[in-house]
Amino acid sequence: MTGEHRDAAVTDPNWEDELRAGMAQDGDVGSVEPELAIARLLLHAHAPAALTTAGHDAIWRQIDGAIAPVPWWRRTAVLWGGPLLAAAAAVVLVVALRPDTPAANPPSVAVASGDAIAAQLENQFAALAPGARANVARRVEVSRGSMRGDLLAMARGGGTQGGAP
Amino acid sequence: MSVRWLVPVLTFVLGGASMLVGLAQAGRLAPARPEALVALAQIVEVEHRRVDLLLERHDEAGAIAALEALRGQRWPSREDGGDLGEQLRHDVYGRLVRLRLDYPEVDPQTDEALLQVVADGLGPDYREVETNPFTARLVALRGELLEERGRDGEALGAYEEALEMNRRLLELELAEVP
Repeated sequence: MTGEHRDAAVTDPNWEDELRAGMAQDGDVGSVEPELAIARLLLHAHAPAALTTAGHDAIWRQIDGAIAPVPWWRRTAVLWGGPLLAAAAAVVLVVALRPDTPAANPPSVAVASGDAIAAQLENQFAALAPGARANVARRVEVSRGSMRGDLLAMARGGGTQGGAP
Repeated sequence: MSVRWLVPVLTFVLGGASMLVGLAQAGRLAPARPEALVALAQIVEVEHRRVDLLLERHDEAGAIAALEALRGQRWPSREDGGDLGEQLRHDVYGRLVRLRLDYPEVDPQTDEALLQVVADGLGPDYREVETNPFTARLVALRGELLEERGRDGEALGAYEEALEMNRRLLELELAEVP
């Protein structure tokens, strides 16, 4: 067997079939896989498969897809955190701007402030009342003097006009 | 009388009328019937002392009954009793309503009935009466009653009105201080 014939024998695809047929005749004892792997390597080294341009581009697209940096808006944290943050902000806005919020506690606030105002007014009255009563008494006394003067005038007028002796 | 004299006379009359109107607006007109005011003041003073004694004995029912009897008497009109007569009425009504609110278990009255008592006590022209603490208190009590009825808006209005009256009184007090 010349060297060229050996190469042909090695690269001949029928060699694998012959090898499997021989193993079958031996009763499928053992394994021919290591030998087949070496045979495929030798086949590839002898005649490398030509890569078409389309195949080349497809491979590079896969590589680009695998190694290209992910844009920030497509990162997992953003994809999951963004909606969560938006939902939280919406909840805060709804709670903060809900028209009912100020009125949620107004009864207690109003009652508290109302009681406080009423107590304050009563305290103010207690402080102002003595002076006011004194003022009323003073002015009533003025009215009393006026009334007395009127009565005296009436008495005098009645004495002169009544024809009394 | 010549026209030369007519002008000063008319001016004097108009000036006097304007002064009277101004004084009436300020609530400083003297009572038309001073004897009515004097009699009323005496009655009110005596009844106040009686109520003081009853409250000292913790006879709240007796105090309320005494004030109710006083309330039922005939009150002089504003023209007859002047603003002082109005103040005396506001004082009596205010004390009565205060006791009613503090002792609701005594001869219970509805808030509506008490509001009517306050309205009767204040009268239609209470805003024209010169500012005084008795009117302010009665207005404040109306606020309390309105608040108990849940009419918070009206209650707040009454409170603000009473506070405004007291603020004016305080300004007057401060103005009198040398």
